[in-house]
Amino acid sequence: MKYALLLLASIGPLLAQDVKLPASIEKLANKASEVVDVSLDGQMLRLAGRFLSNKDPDEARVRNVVNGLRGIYVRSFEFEKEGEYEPSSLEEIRSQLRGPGWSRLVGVISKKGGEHTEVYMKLDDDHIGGVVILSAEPKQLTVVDIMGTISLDDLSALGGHFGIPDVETGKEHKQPATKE
Amino acid sequence: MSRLDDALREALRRQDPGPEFTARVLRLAATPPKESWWRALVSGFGPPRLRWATAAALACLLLVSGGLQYRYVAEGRRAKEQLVLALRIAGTKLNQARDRVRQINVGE
Repeated sequence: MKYALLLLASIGPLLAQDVKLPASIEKLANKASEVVDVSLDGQMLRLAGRFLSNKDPDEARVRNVVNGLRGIYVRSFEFEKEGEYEPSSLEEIRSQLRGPGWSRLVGVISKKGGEHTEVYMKLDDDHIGGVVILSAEPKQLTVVDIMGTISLDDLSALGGHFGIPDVETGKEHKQPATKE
Repeated sequence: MSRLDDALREALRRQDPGPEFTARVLRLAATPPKESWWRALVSGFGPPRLRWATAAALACLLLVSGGLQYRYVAEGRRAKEQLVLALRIAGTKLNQARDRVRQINVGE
């Protein structure tokens, strides 16, 4: 019984593991010509949510999504020349996403444009417990980590706003008019 | 001249105000003056130094709370802008992935 409890205690954190951005990614800021660094934990998300207007339909939808989130972390680096970063920089993150609870939803490689985009999701019952987007382009590297509970319906409701695409949940949605 | 003297003498002659005058004066002297509501409120704070100290403390409190409120609003607006930026970047990358998948499916 004791050993079973110990085993459960050791597995528990793994099951609930959040992705940690490695130091190698953070160091890329020194080489990048432009850096986008967004770190919003649960407290900051709740603060931001208070400033989202209920009267604006777009902001009201975002508010519904934010309610279930525990954090949003974005690191986007733009470089002046190609080859400024090692593609293996993302391997440390990928190794975390091979853990339990995570599954790769999409992996797209464009040899022509040299772009590699991967989308990972953590599934908790019928809810998405987290989303990680890895995007590697010749002169740009982007990591997006969204932690928390997002329902597919709420995510679908954001479709067409703020450049967020429609997620197919069995319902038809109008496509956004502009490509970003 | 004598008529003027007589008139003056008559006017300045001492006259007895009567017993009621004394009682009226003593009654008025015994009644304390009415205090305005402002004086009543301020005097409750004690000596003038304590009143000034209380006023200064209240002013400091107002300044600090105003500053905190300003900082709260500034941080909240910044957090909101960052949230929108983060969702826009996430949406853009998801759009790109979806477009690539569509292109691949169309190509098939």
